[in-house]
Amino acid sequence: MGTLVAALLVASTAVAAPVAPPAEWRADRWPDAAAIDLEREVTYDLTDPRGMLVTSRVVTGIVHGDRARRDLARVSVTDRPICREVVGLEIAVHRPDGATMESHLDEMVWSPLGDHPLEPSRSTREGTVPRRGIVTGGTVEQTTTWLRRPECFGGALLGRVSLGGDRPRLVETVRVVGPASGSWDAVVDRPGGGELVDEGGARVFRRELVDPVPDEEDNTHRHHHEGRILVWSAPTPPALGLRSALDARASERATAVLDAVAKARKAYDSRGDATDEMAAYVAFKIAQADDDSPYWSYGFEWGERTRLAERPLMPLEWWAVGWALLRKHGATPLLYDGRTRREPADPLHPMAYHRLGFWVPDVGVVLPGTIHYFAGTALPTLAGKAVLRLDVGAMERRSFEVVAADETTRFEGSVRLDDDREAMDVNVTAEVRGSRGAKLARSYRSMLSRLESSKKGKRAKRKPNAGPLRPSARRTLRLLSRTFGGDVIKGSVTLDEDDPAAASARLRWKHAVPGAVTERGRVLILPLPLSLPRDVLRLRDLTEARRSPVVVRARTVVYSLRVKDPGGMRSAGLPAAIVHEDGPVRVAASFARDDETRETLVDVEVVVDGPLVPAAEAVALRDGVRALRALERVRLVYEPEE
Amino acid sequence: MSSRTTPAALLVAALLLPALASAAQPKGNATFDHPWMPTREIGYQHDAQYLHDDSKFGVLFTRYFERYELREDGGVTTTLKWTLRTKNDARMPRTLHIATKSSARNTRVERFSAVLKTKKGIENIGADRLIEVGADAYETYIADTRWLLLMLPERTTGTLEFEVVLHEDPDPEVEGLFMGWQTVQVNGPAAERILEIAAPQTTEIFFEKRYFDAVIEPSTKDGVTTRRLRLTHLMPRFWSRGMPHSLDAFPLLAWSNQRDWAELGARFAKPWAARSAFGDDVAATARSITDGLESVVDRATAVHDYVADGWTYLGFYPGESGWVPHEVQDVWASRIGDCKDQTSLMLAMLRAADVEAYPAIGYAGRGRSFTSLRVPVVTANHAFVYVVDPDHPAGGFFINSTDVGFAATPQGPWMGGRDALVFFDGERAPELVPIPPSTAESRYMADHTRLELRPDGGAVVRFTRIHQGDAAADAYGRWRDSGPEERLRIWEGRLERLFPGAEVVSLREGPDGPGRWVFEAEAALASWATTTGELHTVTLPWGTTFGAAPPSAFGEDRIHPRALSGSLREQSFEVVVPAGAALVSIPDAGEHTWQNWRASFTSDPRGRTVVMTLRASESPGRMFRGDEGRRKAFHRWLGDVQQGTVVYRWSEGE
Repeated sequence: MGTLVAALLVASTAVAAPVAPPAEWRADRWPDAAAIDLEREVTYDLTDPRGMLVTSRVVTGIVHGDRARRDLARVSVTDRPICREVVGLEIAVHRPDGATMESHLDEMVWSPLGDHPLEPSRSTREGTVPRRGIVTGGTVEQTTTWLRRPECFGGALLGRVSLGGDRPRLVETVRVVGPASGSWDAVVDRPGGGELVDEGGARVFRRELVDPVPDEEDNTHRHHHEGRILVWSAPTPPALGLRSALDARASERATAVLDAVAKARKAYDSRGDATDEMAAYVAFKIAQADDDSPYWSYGFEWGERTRLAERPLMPLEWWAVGWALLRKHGATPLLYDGRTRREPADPLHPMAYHRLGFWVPDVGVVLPGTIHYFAGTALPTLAGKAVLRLDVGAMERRSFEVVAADETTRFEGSVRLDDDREAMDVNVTAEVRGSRGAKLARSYRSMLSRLESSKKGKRAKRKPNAGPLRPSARRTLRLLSRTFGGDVIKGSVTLDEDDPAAASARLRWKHAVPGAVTERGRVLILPLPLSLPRDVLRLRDLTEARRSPVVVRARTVVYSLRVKDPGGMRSAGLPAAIVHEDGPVRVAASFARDDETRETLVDVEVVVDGPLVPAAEAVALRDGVRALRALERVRLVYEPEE
Repeated sequence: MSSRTTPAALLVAALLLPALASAAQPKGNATFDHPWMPTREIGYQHDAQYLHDDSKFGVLFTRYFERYELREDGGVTTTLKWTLRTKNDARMPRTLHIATKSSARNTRVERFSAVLKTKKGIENIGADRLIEVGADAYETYIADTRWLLLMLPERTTGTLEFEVVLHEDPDPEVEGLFMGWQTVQVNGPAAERILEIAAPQTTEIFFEKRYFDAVIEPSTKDGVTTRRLRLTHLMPRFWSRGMPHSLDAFPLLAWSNQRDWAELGARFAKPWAARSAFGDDVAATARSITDGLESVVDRATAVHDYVADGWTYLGFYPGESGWVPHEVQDVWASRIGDCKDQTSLMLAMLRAADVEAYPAIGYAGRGRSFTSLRVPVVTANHAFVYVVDPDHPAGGFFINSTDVGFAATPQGPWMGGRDALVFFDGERAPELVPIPPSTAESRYMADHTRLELRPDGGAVVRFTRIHQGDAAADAYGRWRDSGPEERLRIWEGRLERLFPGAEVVSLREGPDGPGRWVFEAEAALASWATTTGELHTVTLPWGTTFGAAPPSAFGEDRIHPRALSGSLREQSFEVVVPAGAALVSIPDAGEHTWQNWRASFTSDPRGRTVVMTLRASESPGRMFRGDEGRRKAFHRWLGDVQQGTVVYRWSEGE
């Protein structure tokens, strides 16, 4: 294959007389590809006196012009002053008839986004220019160069590249070129399958025949695929000093910000002792500063003091404020990457993370817009994700796996068909454990705590089921509804004092049964009032060809129901049991009769493994989904008593 | 007005009439007559309900002044003077949208001042707080327009006095136009709203007042005639998701220096024609792809399909107004273009193929209603082609420029039922030509499922989905863009979702006659019916499912109606039970109607076969406040019907 690749590269770079696409471009490996990247090279040049130059060169061969053009006709590049300045762009489209159509940087139309909270002139700009003349058999060459000035991110010598892409790629190279002398000595952490070599003063990572990222697959975590993020840095990544920077600057800046932003000061003063509320406030505030860009997009910047009160704060500023608010609650700052469900290539590399947050003892992890609560000692909703705690002390930062808790929901109770035969009346006790149990328990405790401190609440406690208890209870019941997927009409919650991550509830809901009984037939047909894992039922692309892992939430759902025979009807028999014992989704459903009480006993257990099911187990997962679907089709059938 | 008035509503209206009559109009010099908005939603200070005074508003434009002046050189000067009073700082905006800047017309700020008066004192806001952000509405249409925004200081109570004067040069491509429209209401409540349209005394200006009447006062000074509209006590514009176009939704004033559509169309036709030259290669290709085709429809369709599939949408108009296409020969070589470019290329090829055709412009938008203004003001956002055809009952037909090369006519609901301005030339002057309205059948999909059960509970399933009209174009577009293999993979996944465990025997997707696109599959199921003693229950996985939450369900609390484009979904499900089996139960037939929406379900046992059909037709139209719940009920009825099962009795001995 190496010879073939070399031949193609020669053909693609010596494009003075382009030809129709070689048959090899659409080899068996990628029969559907509309275009193939013949080469892509990213170079980090540390020798330029202006700063770090990042050059990306891509040569693409067009296999199906009409299809490829839809992706390739428009070039969009991002320019951000200081950290990502576009200083070069050359595009040449070589057509098979020998014509070449070019586009250059000076043709680019820049659209400012106005997203810099400090200075509009430093906003990100989106540049657009067309690639004209894309047809089958042509090639596209594009070279883009960005400059990262020393002012960005403290001049840190580090980089992060997303490897692979939407198109197949024959050769992919990342090159770090340093000065002849000096302590740059780049360390590269690379995904599997690549080759790392020294080439005349450069550190070079190279791999061949790179499959496209399978973005068409359902429920895919693209970044997991082949560990496609490559990060490199000088041996001592300066961002390891992030905590030091926070320590050194946060007190000064946070105090200034607190003084300037009256509402933050008010929060600091009024909510000082309520850890939960403070954590929620911080989560909300970091979210206000956060957008889809990673926290390091604007560099290591804290903004100017001027007009502090008049502008939105930047993520790092809110982090500092958040820390000022949460420090007395024992919080630890942390970095988090919600996109990556694997150990980062370099767990101490700050660019392996995107978001800022806090670890708050006895509460959980505070992230932009949300709090992931502890369930016991575990953080089930963060299971498998990467977090870097910035603890005090040199080099004590560590990443860790967040282990899953017992995520079991157990329903036990009775079911009776209403007299009008429109709905089933379901009465159950629900025991909820794990993340949902923790959330439910915390929500309920918070409600009780608020009631304790309010006059209305004290009155309400003297007179149960009156006053503000009702709306608060409704909120909790809505939470429960989401937990098991029903529509609760009545319920009460009991907390498990021994387990903060567990709660039980007495619930009653109506389960509609349209079409249960028909005029023409004399039978009565009841579906099972189960709430099966909808996210699992929705999964697609579970085939042998699957290449990306499947993300599912681990949980166990258990039902033990007694379904009363409808009045005047008798059971026509029992459905066959369903047993699916293997794979990441396991289903066991059995049915029995209690003739004495005229009830059908339904016992169901569904176990889902998570959070990540490897692609190799996709077919096994599909079989589990099929078993769930079979369970969905089960009906209890009744005939009239003669 | 709406056609859904009931007798009870009329009675209530009659009782309330005297009270409403006195409350019908707000104070001020205007009267309003809106098809659905009560006047209290347009103006405040009524004598009756919704009695507001200025002090009730957290923010209020105490004065909102706009002036658009056509200069002698053909450029336009815009003056904005606003006084914004803020009583509730939480309601104070962070930014104010000042203007949209066009590089083609060199929009520039000639004068700017902004003063904020608060309890703390007076603050002059500098021009450094004017920022520009990109305003191109679509990623694939780049015209380097920008919004000019004023970043306001931290929210505070007080009064902001703001003035800006902007100059624009004449349009470089379509000369001599001075036209526009402004809604009477603005983005906040306004105690006083003044709109001035000014032009040299010799220039005639034509006006249209939609949904309101008020005196427009003319005055002339220094050779410039100013027409002044002054209104008071205006509520802010209210927006609702899915509402009709702003032109239909709000009282507005439109103006134009064009006498009629013919004059306006001629101004556009000229620069279009100047860029329409094409070379031999274009002509040769046009003749080649239409060779042997006799009818105008066939030749037009061949050209349309060739361009629609061979060019990719990308509008790139930096430094240009975007009203005139690029040179045909450039579009031909670049293989990209927006609606104007592709229209222009289609026209060149049609003419080379001896088909008479003209450019047309109009408003394109799915699910919106739109009525042309009476005064000639361009409100179009789309260009396409009008083909003259003596054999066509209407004398001609439209073809779209940016759709796919399949099911090109009739137009989908996003273009039908409105006027297009066709740039005829020669003896026929440009004029408005109606595009035929769309119907529920304009977007038609049907599923046919046949499930043939075996004694062991297994089955053979045959599934067919038919797309017609706009749905066929969409289906073809997905097939074209994804590639046939990918589409079949997707269909295989869908089949798995409908019939888990289905072993595929055959799959096919492709055309099935003119304008008709189908997917067909046959698969084997190892088991399907669930068994309870001798009774076997068959659940029915409908290809399209309905439920209580129809697509894009919105809340009921809305002022504007929702504009719906209709749809027609037909599904049939045929269940064949094993030989010797007896049908015990089948779902009941029924129907559900609401206004001119129809849903029906039939179930007919024929021997050991049950044929069930489900038909749901949503007609295009407007849904008013309160109708969303009825639409949900409509969909819930359909969803309930789909829960029905077929039960049959069969045992080994039979």
